[in-house]
Amino acid sequence: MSQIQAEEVKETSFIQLNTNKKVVENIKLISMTFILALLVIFSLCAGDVWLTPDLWFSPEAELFIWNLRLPRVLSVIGVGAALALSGAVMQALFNNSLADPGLLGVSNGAGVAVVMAIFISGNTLHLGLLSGFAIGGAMVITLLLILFSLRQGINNTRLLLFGMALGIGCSAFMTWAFYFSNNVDMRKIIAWTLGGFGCIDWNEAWLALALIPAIGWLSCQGRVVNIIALNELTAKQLGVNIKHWRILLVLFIGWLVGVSVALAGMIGFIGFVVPHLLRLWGITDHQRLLPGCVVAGATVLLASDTFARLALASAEIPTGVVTATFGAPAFIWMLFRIPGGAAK
Amino acid sequence: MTHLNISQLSVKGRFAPFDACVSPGQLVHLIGPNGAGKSSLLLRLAGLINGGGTISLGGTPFSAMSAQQLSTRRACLIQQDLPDLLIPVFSYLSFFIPKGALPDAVDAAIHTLASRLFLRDKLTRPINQLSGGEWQRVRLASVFLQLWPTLNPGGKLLILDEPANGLDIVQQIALDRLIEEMCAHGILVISSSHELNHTLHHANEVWMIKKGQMVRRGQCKEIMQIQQLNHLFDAQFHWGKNDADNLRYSLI
Repeated sequence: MSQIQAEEVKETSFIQLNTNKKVVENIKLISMTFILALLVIFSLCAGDVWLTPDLWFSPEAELFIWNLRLPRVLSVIGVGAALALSGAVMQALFNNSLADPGLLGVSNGAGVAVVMAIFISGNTLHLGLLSGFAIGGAMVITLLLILFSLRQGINNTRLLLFGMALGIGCSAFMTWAFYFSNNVDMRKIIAWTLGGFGCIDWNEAWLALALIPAIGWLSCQGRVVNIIALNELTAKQLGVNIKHWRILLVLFIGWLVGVSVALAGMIGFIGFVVPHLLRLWGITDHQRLLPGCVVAGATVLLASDTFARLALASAEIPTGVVTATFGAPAFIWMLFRIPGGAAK
Repeated sequence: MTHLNISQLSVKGRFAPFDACVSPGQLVHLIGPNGAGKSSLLLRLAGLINGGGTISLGGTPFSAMSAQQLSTRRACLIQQDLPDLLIPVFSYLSFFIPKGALPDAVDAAIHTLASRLFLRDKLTRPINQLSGGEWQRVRLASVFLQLWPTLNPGGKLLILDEPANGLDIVQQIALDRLIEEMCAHGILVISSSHELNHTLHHANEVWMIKKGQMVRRGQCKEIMQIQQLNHLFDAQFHWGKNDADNLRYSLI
Protein backbone atom coordinates (compact mmCIF):
# COMPACT_ATOMS: atom_id res chain seq x y z
CA MET A 1 0.00 0.00 0.00
CA SER A 2 2.71 2.43 1.05
CA GLN A 3 4.63 1.55 -2.07
CA ILE A 4 1.69 2.37 -4.27
CA GLN A 5 1.22 5.71 -2.57
CA ALA A 6 4.88 6.52 -2.93
CA GLU A 7 4.67 5.76 -6.63
CA GLU A 8 1.64 7.96 -7.02
CA VAL A 9 3.38 10.88 -5.39
CA LYS A 10 6.34 10.39 -7.67
CA GLU A 11 4.07 10.14 -10.68
CA THR A 12 2.39 13.48 -10.15
CA SER A 13 5.02 15.62 -8.46
CA PHE A 14 5.34 18.43 -10.96
CA ILE A 15 8.59 19.88 -9.64
CA GLN A 16 10.19 16.44 -9.79
CA LEU A 17 9.06 15.90 -13.38
CA ASN A 18 10.34 19.31 -14.39
CA THR A 19 13.72 18.88 -12.73
CA ASN A 20 14.21 15.40 -14.18
CA LYS A 21 13.45 16.66 -17.67
CA LYS A 22 15.88 19.54 -17.29
CA VAL A 23 18.68 17.28 -16.06
CA VAL A 24 18.16 14.72 -18.83
CA GLU A 25 18.08 17.42 -21.51
CA ASN A 26 21.24 19.03 -20.12
CA ILE A 27 23.08 15.70 -20.18
CA LYS A 28 22.07 15.28 -23.82
CA LEU A 29 23.33 18.78 -24.62
CA ILE A 30 26.69 18.08 -23.00
CA SER A 31 27.12 14.77 -24.79
CA MET A 32 26.31 16.42 -28.13
CA THR A 33 28.91 19.10 -27.48
CA PHE A 34 31.44 16.37 -26.78
CA ILE A 35 30.61 14.62 -30.07
CA LEU A 36 30.96 17.93 -31.93
CA ALA A 37 34.42 18.46 -30.40
CA LEU A 38 35.52 14.98 -31.52
CA LEU A 39 34.15 15.61 -34.99
CA VAL A 40 36.02 18.91 -35.27
CA ILE A 41 39.30 17.12 -34.49
CA PHE A 42 38.50 14.36 -36.97
CA SER A 43 37.53 16.83 -39.65
CA LEU A 44 40.80 18.75 -39.23
CA CYS A 45 42.76 15.50 -39.54
CA ALA A 46 40.89 14.16 -42.54
CA GLY A 47 41.54 14.95 -46.17
CA ASP A 48 43.76 13.99 -49.07
CA VAL A 49 46.65 14.38 -46.68
CA TRP A 50 45.86 12.87 -43.26
CA LEU A 51 47.40 14.79 -40.40
CA THR A 52 47.13 13.52 -36.84
CA PRO A 53 46.97 16.16 -34.06
CA ASP A 54 50.67 15.70 -33.14
CA LEU A 55 51.62 16.91 -36.63
CA TRP A 56 49.36 19.97 -36.57
CA PHE A 57 52.09 22.34 -35.48
CA SER A 58 54.67 21.17 -38.00
CA PRO A 59 55.46 23.58 -40.85
CA GLU A 60 54.00 21.29 -43.53
CA ALA A 61 50.66 21.20 -41.68
CA GLU A 62 50.34 24.95 -41.62
CA LEU A 63 48.84 25.11 -45.10
CA PHE A 64 46.43 22.21 -44.70
CA ILE A 65 45.28 22.66 -41.12
CA TRP A 66 45.43 26.39 -40.46
CA ASN A 67 44.90 27.91 -43.90
CA LEU A 68 42.54 25.41 -45.56
CA ARG A 69 40.72 23.18 -43.12
CA LEU A 70 40.24 25.43 -40.08
CA PRO A 71 38.46 28.30 -41.87
CA ARG A 72 36.30 25.77 -43.62
CA VAL A 73 35.43 23.91 -40.41
CA LEU A 74 34.58 27.16 -38.65
CA SER A 75 32.30 28.30 -41.48
CA VAL A 76 30.58 24.92 -41.58
CA ILE A 77 29.94 25.06 -37.83
CA GLY A 78 28.57 28.59 -38.09
CA VAL A 79 26.28 27.83 -41.04
CA GLY A 80 25.04 24.53 -39.59
CA ALA A 81 24.24 26.19 -36.27
CA ALA A 82 22.54 29.14 -37.96
CA LEU A 83 20.37 27.01 -40.25
CA ALA A 84 19.23 24.60 -37.54
CA LEU A 85 18.53 27.44 -35.12
CA SER A 86 16.56 29.48 -37.65
CA GLY A 87 14.63 26.33 -38.59
CA ALA A 88 13.64 25.73 -34.96
CA VAL A 89 12.58 29.36 -34.49
CA MET A 90 10.60 29.34 -37.75
CA GLN A 91 8.79 26.19 -36.67
CA ALA A 92 7.76 27.94 -33.46
CA LEU A 93 6.82 31.15 -35.27
CA PHE A 94 4.65 29.43 -37.88
CA ASN A 95 3.32 26.81 -35.44
CA ASN A 96 4.36 24.23 -38.00
CA SER A 97 6.91 21.51 -37.49
CA LEU A 98 7.67 21.40 -41.22
CA ALA A 99 8.81 25.00 -41.52
CA ASP A 100 12.39 25.42 -42.73
CA PRO A 101 14.30 28.27 -44.37
CA GLY A 102 14.78 26.16 -47.51
CA LEU A 103 11.23 24.81 -47.79
CA LEU A 104 9.60 28.18 -47.22
CA GLY A 105 11.73 29.88 -49.88
CA VAL A 106 13.78 32.05 -47.51
CA SER A 107 17.09 30.61 -48.72
CA ASN A 108 15.94 30.98 -52.33
CA GLY A 109 15.08 34.61 -51.66
CA ALA A 110 18.60 35.16 -50.40
CA GLY A 111 19.90 33.27 -53.45
CA VAL A 112 18.03 35.57 -55.85
CA ALA A 113 19.44 38.60 -54.08
CA VAL A 114 22.94 37.14 -54.41
CA VAL A 115 22.44 36.51 -58.14
CA MET A 116 21.24 40.07 -58.57
CA ALA A 117 24.27 41.32 -56.68
CA ILE A 118 26.56 39.30 -58.97
CA PHE A 119 24.88 40.83 -62.02
CA ILE A 120 25.05 44.37 -60.73
CA SER A 121 28.64 44.45 -59.62
CA GLY A 122 30.26 41.72 -61.73
CA ASN A 123 33.67 40.57 -60.63
CA THR A 124 34.46 43.46 -58.33
CA LEU A 125 32.00 42.11 -55.83
CA HIS A 126 32.67 42.96 -52.22
CA LEU A 127 31.77 40.14 -49.85
CA GLY A 128 30.16 42.46 -47.31
CA LEU A 129 27.88 43.89 -49.99
CA LEU A 130 26.99 40.40 -51.13
CA SER A 131 26.01 39.37 -47.61
CA GLY A 132 23.96 42.52 -47.27
CA PHE A 133 22.03 41.56 -50.39
CA ALA A 134 21.57 37.99 -49.16
CA ILE A 135 20.29 39.15 -45.76
CA GLY A 136 17.88 41.57 -47.45
CA GLY A 137 16.57 38.84 -49.77
CA ALA A 138 16.01 36.44 -46.88
CA MET A 139 14.19 39.10 -44.89
CA VAL A 140 11.92 40.10 -47.77
CA ILE A 141 10.73 36.50 -48.18
CA THR A 142 10.23 36.02 -44.43
CA LEU A 143 8.24 39.25 -44.22
CA LEU A 144 6.07 38.16 -47.16
CA LEU A 145 5.43 34.90 -45.34
CA ILE A 146 4.47 36.74 -42.16
CA LEU A 147 2.16 39.12 -44.06
CA PHE A 148 0.52 36.18 -45.75
CA SER A 149 0.12 34.32 -42.45
CA LEU A 150 -1.61 37.37 -40.91
CA ARG A 151 -4.45 37.19 -43.42
CA GLN A 152 -7.61 35.61 -42.16
CA GLY A 153 -8.32 32.00 -42.96
CA ILE A 154 -4.71 31.12 -43.71
CA ASN A 155 -3.85 27.78 -42.20
CA ASN A 156 -0.43 26.26 -41.97
CA THR A 157 -0.84 24.11 -45.05
CA ARG A 158 -1.61 27.09 -47.26
CA LEU A 159 1.26 29.01 -45.71
CA LEU A 160 3.64 26.17 -46.47
CA LEU A 161 2.40 26.01 -50.06
CA PHE A 162 2.73 29.78 -50.35
CA GLY A 163 6.33 29.54 -49.16
CA MET A 164 7.05 26.75 -51.63
CA ALA A 165 5.54 28.83 -54.44
CA LEU A 166 7.81 31.73 -53.49
CA GLY A 167 10.75 29.32 -53.48
CA ILE A 168 9.87 27.93 -56.91
CA GLY A 169 9.48 31.48 -58.25
CA CYS A 170 12.90 32.37 -56.90
CA SER A 171 14.58 29.31 -58.41
CA ALA A 172 12.90 30.06 -61.74
CA PHE A 173 14.43 33.52 -61.58
CA MET A 174 17.84 31.98 -60.94
CA THR A 175 17.44 29.60 -63.88
CA TRP A 176 16.59 32.57 -66.11
CA ALA A 177 19.73 34.19 -64.81
CA PHE A 178 21.84 31.33 -66.24
CA TYR A 179 20.85 32.29 -69.76
CA PHE A 180 21.72 35.93 -69.36
CA SER A 181 25.08 35.45 -67.71
CA ASN A 182 28.59 34.94 -68.94
CA ASN A 183 30.64 31.88 -68.10
CA VAL A 184 32.24 33.14 -64.92
CA ASP A 185 29.01 34.41 -63.43
CA MET A 186 27.21 31.24 -64.34
CA ARG A 187 29.72 29.08 -62.52
CA LYS A 188 29.30 31.25 -59.47
CA ILE A 189 25.51 31.03 -59.64
CA ILE A 190 25.58 27.24 -59.97
CA ALA A 191 27.88 27.07 -56.94
CA TRP A 192 25.34 29.11 -54.96
CA THR A 193 22.38 26.97 -55.88
CA LEU A 194 24.19 23.72 -55.02
CA GLY A 195 25.54 24.98 -51.74
CA GLY A 196 29.02 24.10 -50.56
CA PHE A 197 32.14 25.19 -48.78
CA GLY A 198 34.62 24.40 -51.54
CA CYS A 199 36.29 27.78 -51.90
CA ILE A 200 36.21 29.03 -48.32
CA ASP A 201 39.41 30.59 -47.02
CA TRP A 202 40.14 33.14 -44.32
CA ASN A 203 38.92 35.98 -46.57
CA GLU A 204 35.44 34.56 -46.38
CA ALA A 205 35.46 32.71 -43.08
CA TRP A 206 35.42 35.98 -41.13
CA LEU A 207 31.85 36.33 -42.32
CA ALA A 208 31.00 33.46 -39.98
CA LEU A 209 31.83 35.87 -37.14
CA ALA A 210 28.77 37.88 -38.16
CA LEU A 211 26.67 34.87 -37.22
CA ILE A 212 27.89 34.74 -33.62
CA PRO A 213 25.86 37.63 -32.11
CA ALA A 214 22.64 36.47 -33.79
CA ILE A 215 23.17 32.83 -32.80
CA GLY A 216 24.06 33.84 -29.25
CA TRP A 217 21.05 36.10 -28.77
CA LEU A 218 18.54 33.85 -30.47
CA SER A 219 19.55 30.68 -28.66
CA CYS A 220 18.88 32.42 -25.32
CA GLN A 221 15.25 33.29 -26.18
CA GLY A 222 13.88 29.83 -25.38
CA ARG A 223 11.49 31.08 -22.72
CA VAL A 224 9.61 33.35 -25.13
CA VAL A 225 9.88 30.98 -28.10
CA ASN A 226 8.26 28.29 -25.93
CA ILE A 227 5.16 30.43 -25.58
CA ILE A 228 5.12 31.68 -29.20
CA ALA A 229 5.18 28.04 -30.31
CA LEU A 230 1.84 27.40 -28.57
CA ASN A 231 -0.44 29.54 -30.67
CA GLU A 232 -0.78 33.26 -31.37
CA LEU A 233 -3.80 33.93 -29.14
CA THR A 234 -2.44 31.80 -26.31
CA ALA A 235 0.84 33.72 -26.42
CA LYS A 236 -1.06 37.00 -26.35
CA GLN A 237 -3.18 35.69 -23.48
CA LEU A 238 0.02 34.99 -21.54
CA GLY A 239 1.24 38.53 -21.97
CA VAL A 240 3.74 38.07 -24.84
CA ASN A 241 3.76 41.01 -27.21
CA ILE A 242 3.50 38.83 -30.28
CA LYS A 243 3.75 41.59 -32.91
CA HIS A 244 6.98 42.89 -31.45
CA TRP A 245 8.50 39.42 -31.15
CA ARG A 246 7.44 38.32 -34.60
CA ILE A 247 9.28 41.23 -36.23
CA LEU A 248 12.34 40.71 -34.04
CA LEU A 249 12.53 36.99 -34.76
CA VAL A 250 12.03 37.56 -38.50
CA LEU A 251 14.92 40.03 -38.52
CA PHE A 252 17.19 37.53 -36.81
CA ILE A 253 16.12 34.63 -39.06
CA GLY A 254 16.80 36.85 -42.08
CA TRP A 255 20.22 37.72 -40.70
CA LEU A 256 21.16 34.08 -40.03
CA VAL A 257 19.85 32.68 -43.31
CA GLY A 258 21.22 35.60 -45.33
CA VAL A 259 24.75 35.27 -43.96
CA SER A 260 24.59 31.47 -44.33
CA VAL A 261 23.61 31.75 -47.99
CA ALA A 262 26.31 34.36 -48.58
CA LEU A 263 28.87 31.97 -47.08
CA ALA A 264 27.80 28.63 -48.46
CA GLY A 265 24.92 29.01 -50.88
CA MET A 266 21.69 27.17 -50.40
CA ILE A 267 21.93 24.18 -48.09
CA GLY A 268 18.63 22.47 -47.51
CA PHE A 269 17.05 20.25 -44.88
CA ILE A 270 19.38 21.04 -41.97
CA GLY A 271 16.89 23.63 -40.73
CA PHE A 272 14.07 21.22 -40.36
CA VAL A 273 15.64 17.80 -39.86
CA VAL A 274 17.84 18.81 -36.92
CA PRO A 275 15.22 20.46 -34.65
CA HIS A 276 12.81 17.66 -35.39
CA LEU A 277 15.27 14.91 -34.55
CA LEU A 278 16.11 16.65 -31.28
CA ARG A 279 12.42 16.88 -30.38
CA LEU A 280 11.95 13.20 -31.13
CA TRP A 281 14.96 12.52 -28.91
CA GLY A 282 13.11 14.21 -26.05
CA ILE A 283 14.53 17.75 -26.07
CA THR A 284 11.25 19.64 -26.37
CA ASP A 285 11.77 22.70 -24.19
CA HIS A 286 13.07 25.54 -26.38
CA GLN A 287 15.31 26.74 -23.57
CA ARG A 288 17.41 23.65 -24.30
CA LEU A 289 16.18 22.91 -27.82
CA LEU A 290 17.61 26.13 -29.27
CA PRO A 291 21.16 25.68 -27.88
CA GLY A 292 20.78 22.01 -28.82
CA CYS A 293 20.06 23.01 -32.41
CA VAL A 294 23.20 25.13 -32.46
CA VAL A 295 25.34 22.17 -31.44
CA ALA A 296 23.51 19.49 -33.41
CA GLY A 297 23.17 21.63 -36.55
CA ALA A 298 26.91 22.27 -36.48
CA THR A 299 27.57 18.56 -35.94
CA VAL A 300 25.30 17.34 -38.75
CA LEU A 301 26.59 19.85 -41.28
CA LEU A 302 30.20 19.21 -40.31
CA ALA A 303 29.63 15.47 -40.73
CA SER A 304 28.03 16.10 -44.16
CA ASP A 305 30.82 18.41 -45.22
CA THR A 306 33.54 15.98 -44.11
CA PHE A 307 31.72 13.25 -46.01
CA ALA A 308 31.54 15.54 -49.05
CA ARG A 309 35.31 16.06 -48.90
CA LEU A 310 36.18 12.38 -48.43
CA ALA A 311 33.54 10.45 -50.42
CA LEU A 312 35.16 10.77 -53.84
CA ALA A 313 38.90 10.37 -54.15
CA SER A 314 39.50 12.87 -56.93
CA ALA A 315 36.65 15.37 -56.58
CA GLU A 316 34.50 17.04 -54.01
CA ILE A 317 30.72 16.77 -53.79
CA PRO A 318 28.85 20.02 -52.93
CA THR A 319 27.76 19.83 -49.29
CA GLY A 320 24.21 20.85 -50.22
CA VAL A 321 23.93 17.72 -52.35
CA VAL A 322 24.96 15.56 -49.40
CA THR A 323 22.41 17.14 -47.03
CA ALA A 324 19.69 16.87 -49.68
CA THR A 325 20.51 13.20 -50.30
CA PHE A 326 20.05 12.35 -46.64
CA GLY A 327 17.44 15.00 -45.93
CA ALA A 328 14.84 14.09 -48.54
CA PRO A 329 14.20 10.55 -47.21
CA ALA A 330 14.15 11.96 -43.66
CA PHE A 331 11.54 14.51 -44.75
CA ILE A 332 9.33 11.82 -46.29
CA TRP A 333 9.71 9.68 -43.19
CA MET A 334 8.59 12.58 -41.00
CA LEU A 335 5.55 13.27 -43.19
CA PHE A 336 4.46 9.71 -42.53
CA ARG A 337 5.27 9.91 -38.84
CA ILE A 338 3.59 13.18 -37.85
CA PRO A 339 -0.10 12.58 -37.20
CA GLY A 340 -1.88 14.45 -39.96
CA GLY A 341 1.38 15.76 -41.42
CA ALA A 342 1.37 19.46 -42.19
CA ALA A 343 -2.30 19.37 -43.11
CA LYS A 344 -3.75 19.95 -39.68
CA MET B 1 -14.66 45.61 -4.51
CA THR B 2 -13.44 45.35 -8.07
CA HIS B 3 -15.98 45.62 -10.81
CA LEU B 4 -15.73 44.79 -14.45
CA ASN B 5 -16.85 47.87 -16.36
CA ILE B 6 -17.58 47.55 -20.05
CA SER B 7 -18.37 50.60 -22.10
CA GLN B 8 -19.44 50.61 -25.76
CA LEU B 9 -17.52 47.41 -26.41
CA SER B 10 -17.71 46.21 -30.01
CA VAL B 11 -15.94 44.38 -32.80
CA LYS B 12 -16.58 45.72 -36.27
CA GLY B 13 -18.77 43.36 -38.26
CA ARG B 14 -19.11 40.90 -35.36
CA PHE B 15 -21.15 42.54 -32.60
CA ALA B 16 -22.63 45.95 -31.87
CA PRO B 17 -21.55 48.17 -28.93
CA PHE B 18 -22.94 47.41 -25.48
CA ASP B 19 -22.34 48.48 -21.88
CA ALA B 20 -22.21 46.30 -18.80
CA CYS B 21 -21.04 46.32 -15.21
CA VAL B 22 -20.52 43.09 -13.27
CA SER B 23 -19.43 42.56 -9.67
CA PRO B 24 -16.71 40.10 -8.66
CA GLY B 25 -17.42 36.46 -7.86
CA GLN B 26 -20.28 36.21 -10.35
CA LEU B 27 -20.77 33.53 -12.99
CA VAL B 28 -22.00 35.06 -16.24
CA HIS B 29 -23.23 32.80 -19.02
CA LEU B 30 -23.41 33.90 -22.66
CA ILE B 31 -26.14 32.18 -24.61
CA GLY B 32 -27.27 32.49 -28.20
CA PRO B 33 -27.40 30.65 -31.49
CA ASN B 34 -24.21 29.53 -33.24
CA GLY B 35 -22.53 32.35 -35.12
CA ALA B 36 -24.16 35.03 -32.95
CA GLY B 37 -20.73 36.46 -32.05
CA LYS B 38 -20.17 34.85 -28.65
CA SER B 39 -16.54 33.88 -29.30
CA SER B 40 -15.68 37.29 -30.75
CA LEU B 41 -17.26 38.99 -27.74
CA LEU B 42 -15.25 36.81 -25.35
CA LEU B 43 -11.99 37.39 -27.21
CA ARG B 44 -12.65 41.13 -27.26
CA LEU B 45 -13.47 41.01 -23.56
CA ALA B 46 -10.14 39.28 -22.90
CA GLY B 47 -8.33 42.02 -24.82
CA LEU B 48 -7.10 39.52 -27.41
CA ILE B 49 -8.68 41.14 -30.47
CA ASN B 50 -9.04 44.80 -31.31
CA GLY B 51 -12.30 46.68 -31.52
CA GLY B 52 -14.19 49.68 -30.18
CA GLY B 53 -14.99 50.58 -26.58
CA THR B 54 -13.20 50.19 -23.27
CA ILE B 55 -12.97 47.56 -20.56
CA SER B 56 -11.78 48.28 -17.05
CA LEU B 57 -11.12 45.89 -14.23
CA GLY B 58 -11.26 47.32 -10.70
CA GLY B 59 -11.06 50.86 -12.06
CA THR B 60 -7.98 50.25 -14.23
CA PRO B 61 -8.66 50.24 -17.97
CA PHE B 62 -7.08 47.40 -19.97
CA SER B 63 -5.36 49.99 -22.16
CA ALA B 64 -3.43 51.26 -19.11
CA MET B 65 -2.07 47.77 -18.33
CA SER B 66 0.87 46.08 -20.01
CA ALA B 67 0.20 42.71 -21.65
CA GLN B 68 2.16 41.15 -18.80
CA GLN B 69 0.05 42.81 -16.10
CA LEU B 70 -3.14 41.88 -17.90
CA SER B 71 -2.08 38.23 -18.01
CA THR B 72 -1.86 38.14 -14.21
CA ARG B 73 -5.42 39.46 -13.81
CA ARG B 74 -7.39 37.67 -16.48
CA ALA B 75 -7.12 34.30 -18.18
CA CYS B 76 -8.98 33.19 -21.26
CA LEU B 77 -9.75 29.72 -22.57
CA ILE B 78 -9.78 29.97 -26.36
CA GLN B 79 -11.07 27.31 -28.72
CA GLN B 80 -8.09 25.57 -30.29
CA ASP B 81 -7.59 22.36 -32.24
CA LEU B 82 -5.02 19.89 -31.01
CA PRO B 83 -1.65 21.34 -32.04
CA ASP B 84 1.31 19.29 -33.24
CA LEU B 85 3.38 19.90 -30.12
CA LEU B 86 5.76 17.26 -28.80
CA ILE B 87 6.10 18.84 -25.35
CA PRO B 88 4.65 16.83 -22.46
CA VAL B 89 1.54 18.06 -20.65
CA PHE B 90 3.43 19.14 -17.53
CA SER B 91 5.72 21.37 -19.61
CA TYR B 92 2.68 22.91 -21.29
CA LEU B 93 1.18 23.66 -17.86
CA SER B 94 4.47 25.14 -16.64
CA PHE B 95 4.11 28.03 -19.13
CA PHE B 96 0.96 29.13 -17.27
CA ILE B 97 2.43 29.24 -13.75
CA PRO B 98 2.08 32.80 -12.39
CA LYS B 99 5.40 34.60 -11.92
CA GLY B 100 6.76 34.53 -8.39
CA ALA B 101 4.71 31.51 -7.27
CA LEU B 102 6.45 29.33 -4.67
CA PRO B 103 7.53 25.85 -5.89
CA ASP B 104 5.64 23.97 -3.15
CA ALA B 105 2.46 25.88 -3.88
CA VAL B 106 2.89 25.20 -7.62
CA ASP B 107 3.37 21.51 -6.93
CA ALA B 108 0.21 21.40 -4.81
CA ALA B 109 -1.85 23.40 -7.30
CA ILE B 110 -0.87 21.23 -10.27
CA HIS B 111 -1.52 18.13 -8.22
CA THR B 112 -5.00 19.37 -7.30
CA LEU B 113 -5.90 20.45 -10.82
CA ALA B 114 -4.57 17.26 -12.39
CA SER B 115 -6.57 15.13 -9.93
CA ARG B 116 -9.77 17.06 -10.29
CA LEU B 117 -9.63 17.21 -14.08
CA PHE B 118 -8.62 13.53 -14.36
CA LEU B 119 -5.21 14.30 -15.81
CA ARG B 120 -2.92 12.65 -13.28
CA ASP B 121 -1.78 9.87 -15.59
CA LYS B 122 -1.53 12.24 -18.59
CA LEU B 123 1.09 14.65 -17.23
CA THR B 124 4.02 13.06 -19.07
CA ARG B 125 2.18 12.47 -22.34
CA PRO B 126 3.13 14.60 -25.37
CA ILE B 127 0.41 17.09 -26.32
CA ASN B 128 0.01 15.72 -29.86
CA GLN B 129 -0.96 12.31 -28.50
CA LEU B 130 -3.92 13.57 -26.46
CA SER B 131 -7.53 13.02 -27.43
CA GLY B 132 -9.82 16.00 -28.02
CA GLY B 133 -11.38 15.74 -24.55
CA GLU B 134 -8.00 15.39 -22.85
CA TRP B 135 -6.69 18.45 -24.71
CA GLN B 136 -9.74 20.42 -23.57
CA ARG B 137 -9.04 19.45 -19.94
CA VAL B 138 -5.35 20.32 -20.26
CA ARG B 139 -6.30 23.78 -21.52
CA LEU B 140 -8.85 24.18 -18.73
CA ALA B 141 -6.18 23.23 -16.19
CA SER B 142 -3.83 25.79 -17.75
CA VAL B 143 -6.20 28.76 -17.42
CA PHE B 144 -7.23 27.75 -13.89
CA LEU B 145 -3.53 27.54 -13.03
CA GLN B 146 -2.95 31.03 -14.41
CA LEU B 147 -5.42 32.51 -11.88
CA TRP B 148 -5.13 29.87 -9.12
CA PRO B 149 -5.77 31.83 -5.87
CA THR B 150 -2.84 30.34 -3.90
CA LEU B 151 -0.39 31.20 -6.70
CA ASN B 152 -1.79 34.44 -8.01
CA PRO B 153 -3.69 36.64 -5.54
CA GLY B 154 -4.30 39.23 -8.28
CA GLY B 155 -6.55 37.08 -10.50
CA LYS B 156 -9.87 38.79 -11.26
CA LEU B 157 -11.43 37.67 -14.52
CA LEU B 158 -11.69 34.22 -16.08
CA ILE B 159 -13.14 33.96 -19.58
CA LEU B 160 -14.13 30.54 -20.88
CA ASP B 161 -15.19 29.89 -24.48
CA GLU B 162 -17.21 26.65 -24.60
CA PRO B 163 -15.47 25.14 -21.55
CA ALA B 164 -17.60 21.97 -21.51
CA ASN B 165 -16.72 20.96 -25.10
CA GLY B 166 -15.79 17.30 -25.25
CA LEU B 167 -16.23 16.64 -21.52
CA ASP B 168 -18.28 13.73 -20.20
CA ILE B 169 -20.87 14.26 -17.47
CA VAL B 170 -18.52 13.53 -14.55
CA GLN B 171 -15.88 15.85 -15.94
CA GLN B 172 -18.51 18.57 -16.46
CA ILE B 173 -19.49 18.38 -12.80
CA ALA B 174 -15.81 18.58 -11.81
CA LEU B 175 -15.50 21.67 -14.02
CA ASP B 176 -18.60 23.26 -12.41
CA ARG B 177 -17.09 22.76 -8.95
CA LEU B 178 -13.81 24.38 -10.02
CA ILE B 179 -15.70 27.33 -11.50
CA GLU B 180 -17.74 27.70 -8.28
CA GLU B 181 -14.52 27.79 -6.26
CA MET B 182 -12.99 30.42 -8.51
CA CYS B 183 -16.15 32.52 -8.02
CA ALA B 184 -15.96 31.96 -4.25
CA HIS B 185 -12.46 33.48 -4.37
CA GLY B 186 -13.89 36.62 -5.92
CA ILE B 187 -12.98 35.85 -9.52
CA LEU B 188 -15.55 36.88 -12.09
CA VAL B 189 -16.17 34.04 -14.55
CA ILE B 190 -17.68 34.75 -17.98
CA SER B 191 -18.44 31.66 -20.02
CA SER B 192 -20.31 30.78 -23.18
CA SER B 193 -22.74 27.92 -22.93
CA HIS B 194 -24.90 25.77 -25.18
CA GLU B 195 -26.71 23.85 -22.46
CA LEU B 196 -29.69 25.97 -21.37
CA ASN B 197 -30.66 23.82 -18.40
CA HIS B 198 -27.11 23.98 -17.14
CA THR B 199 -27.17 27.75 -17.46
CA LEU B 200 -30.49 27.91 -15.60
CA HIS B 201 -29.04 26.04 -12.62
CA HIS B 202 -25.56 27.52 -12.41
CA ALA B 203 -25.35 31.04 -13.80
CA ASN B 204 -25.86 34.18 -11.68
CA GLU B 205 -26.22 36.40 -14.69
CA VAL B 206 -27.11 35.64 -18.29
CA TRP B 207 -26.30 37.57 -21.45
CA MET B 208 -28.36 36.81 -24.56
CA ILE B 209 -26.70 37.43 -27.88
CA LYS B 210 -28.36 37.26 -31.26
CA LYS B 211 -26.85 38.32 -34.60
CA GLY B 212 -24.17 40.42 -32.95
CA GLN B 213 -26.60 42.25 -30.66
CA MET B 214 -26.79 42.05 -26.89
CA VAL B 215 -30.51 41.26 -26.79
CA ARG B 216 -31.00 41.01 -23.06
CA ARG B 217 -28.84 40.97 -19.98
CA GLY B 218 -29.71 40.41 -16.32
CA GLN B 219 -30.22 37.98 -13.45
CA CYS B 220 -30.59 34.37 -14.51
CA LYS B 221 -34.18 33.89 -13.34
CA GLU B 222 -35.41 37.02 -15.12
CA ILE B 223 -33.70 36.22 -18.36
CA MET B 224 -34.31 32.51 -18.73
CA GLN B 225 -37.98 32.87 -19.63
CA ILE B 226 -39.70 30.86 -22.32
CA GLN B 227 -40.75 33.85 -24.41
CA GLN B 228 -37.28 35.36 -24.47
CA LEU B 229 -35.64 32.04 -25.30
CA ASN B 230 -38.13 31.47 -28.10
CA HIS B 231 -37.20 34.84 -29.52
CA LEU B 232 -33.46 34.26 -29.09
CA PHE B 233 -33.34 30.90 -30.84
CA ASP B 234 -36.36 31.32 -33.13
CA ALA B 235 -37.71 28.07 -31.71
CA GLN B 236 -40.46 26.85 -29.40
CA PHE B 237 -39.39 25.95 -25.86
CA HIS B 238 -41.54 24.71 -23.01
CA TRP B 239 -41.05 23.81 -19.38
CA GLY B 240 -40.59 20.15 -18.60
CA LYS B 241 -43.34 18.70 -16.43
CA ASN B 242 -41.56 15.86 -14.70
CA ASP B 243 -40.39 17.69 -11.59
CA ALA B 244 -41.69 20.91 -10.09
CA ASP B 245 -38.35 21.98 -8.53
CA ASN B 246 -36.25 20.99 -11.44
CA LEU B 247 -37.53 22.87 -14.43
CA ARG B 248 -36.26 21.72 -17.79
CA TYR B 249 -36.41 23.28 -21.20
CA SER B 250 -37.09 21.21 -24.21
CA LEU B 251 -38.03 21.85 -27.80
CA ILE B 252 -41.54 21.18 -28.96
